[in-house]
Amino acid sequence: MRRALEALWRAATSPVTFVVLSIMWCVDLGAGSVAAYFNDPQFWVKMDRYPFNLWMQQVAPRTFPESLWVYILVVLSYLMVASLLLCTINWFLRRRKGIKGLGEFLVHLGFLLIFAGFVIGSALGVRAQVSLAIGERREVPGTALSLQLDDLQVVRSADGRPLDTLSSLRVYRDGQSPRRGTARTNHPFIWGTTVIYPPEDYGYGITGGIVGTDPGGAYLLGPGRSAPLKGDRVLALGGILQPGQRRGRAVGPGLLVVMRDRSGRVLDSAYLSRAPGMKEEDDLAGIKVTLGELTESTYGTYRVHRDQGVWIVITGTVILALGTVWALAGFLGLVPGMNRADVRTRGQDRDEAG
Amino acid sequence: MEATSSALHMSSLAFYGLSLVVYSLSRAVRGLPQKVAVWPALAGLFCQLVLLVLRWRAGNHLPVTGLFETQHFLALWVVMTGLYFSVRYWAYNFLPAAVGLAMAALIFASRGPKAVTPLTPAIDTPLFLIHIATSFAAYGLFGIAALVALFRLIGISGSPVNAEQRMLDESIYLGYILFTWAMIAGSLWAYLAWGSYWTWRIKGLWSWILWFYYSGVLHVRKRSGWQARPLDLLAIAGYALVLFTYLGLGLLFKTSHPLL
Repeated sequence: MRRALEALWRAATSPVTFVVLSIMWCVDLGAGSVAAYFNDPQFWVKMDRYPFNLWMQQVAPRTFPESLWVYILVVLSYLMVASLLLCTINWFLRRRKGIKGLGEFLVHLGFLLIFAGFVIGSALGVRAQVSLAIGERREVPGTALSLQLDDLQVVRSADGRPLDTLSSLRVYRDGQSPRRGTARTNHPFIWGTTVIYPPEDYGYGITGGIVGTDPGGAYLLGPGRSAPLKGDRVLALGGILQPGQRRGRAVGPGLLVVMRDRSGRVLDSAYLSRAPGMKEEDDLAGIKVTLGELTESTYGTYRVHRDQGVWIVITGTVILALGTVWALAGFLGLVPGMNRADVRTRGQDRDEAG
Repeated sequence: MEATSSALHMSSLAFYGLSLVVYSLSRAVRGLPQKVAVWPALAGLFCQLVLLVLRWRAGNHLPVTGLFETQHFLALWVVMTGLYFSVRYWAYNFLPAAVGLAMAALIFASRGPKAVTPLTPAIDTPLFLIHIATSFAAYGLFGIAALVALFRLIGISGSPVNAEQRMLDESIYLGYILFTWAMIAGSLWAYLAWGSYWTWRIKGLWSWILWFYYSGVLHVRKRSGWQARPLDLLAIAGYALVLFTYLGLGLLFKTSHPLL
């Protein structure tokens, strides 16, 4: 029994086990990635929209058996990390020889932390998209945050080509005072584990309009602008379609006008549009609403990512990088006592494996 | 700058070609030592260094953007390593192979535009420059490792002091460390620019495959059962993987890392 357990421990902690698992991981990922691309060239773009766990829960079952290789990849990843962990523990317990091998130990530790951070981020992370016009504030789905766009400037080259954007943003978290920041390419707005990226899509378009009510008057609806009505009701903007845009039967340009009660519950809604064949007036909970002049402004669509594991990943990355520097120093002979050309014998291999 | 770049590019190619000619002559003419081939190789290297320094000054950024510059950077590392091995391990027999690989990279570089262009905001970050510089340096070293392995496999003595094992070891080890830095810089850049340090894009995935592959090679490279032939085959297969990750993906797929 003892011998069997020792043999099992030797197999589990052997670098060869890790290598075999690595090869299987590489083959699975390599073949799977190529097959997935040929099946759907947009496969990876779609996959990047979700945190990994959410993709596994919502998309992978729908695309089975094409997604089988991802399930295999997950199993192999866990096995590989378990092998690496046991290897590292075994190495630490048996081969503590001062600073010799510290570089390798740090590389392994860093990698384990990166994997742990990735698992946490995949399990708890959020990826959302928010479209905002200048001055508008909206909730970020899946978070307790709301985002406000204060300004959006397009940075242009000397010949007028758009190069970049600079967004001034405000993030609100339940009752706290807002955090202000900017987002531009390679310089997102980072707040703890939440990152707001510069807009992938921006432009100049309809951001609201004047809506006439009968009985009542005319109101300007837009980002952060609603109109109080009699009976504790509020008229607000529920959505916008730009010229030519379609959603179901609705065609742009037009506004989705909603009536809410004091608690924010939607009582009724109507879509008013200038597009041919669409209605410019409608009945909204007994009030006649008419589409007036549409207002235009600059808007942007922002990606908001929250990754709770990112600081563990960054810590792991720093440790891993330090490990490589130390290993390199040893390899170049800058660390006393480290021999860079030690080819081991079978006996030494066996000893190391336990 | 384009004319200067072309002139220096052609000069470096010519000097490397001369190095191959001199080496061939040294094999045929008694009294002409093989190490004479080092001098034209050094002249080619000097031309490349001048080219890259001038482009650095003209563009005001590390010259590692576009096919022309990246291939020059790769060739630079290949020749530097070949010269280092020649001087350190008397591996003058190996130098022509390294110079040949560098020439292949430079001929491929000729396909790329030679104009110095300003960095777009997306790549105007030190992380991009570190990512590309270390990637191509690593590619060069993995190429050298494959050449050393090939020499060993077909039984050509690359070094009279039997340092082939050490040459192979050094190229893979240093290449792996540089590639690790490339992956770290690339991941951080991806996090800041695109929203995640891990993206499910084919180029990134194959880069991880490459990293894991060489991690495996490093784990077995000193184990008794993996010495000699298995390690040589691993080094050659590794470079095939490098070529596929760099060229194959760029040519066959629409990737986030276009080739040209």
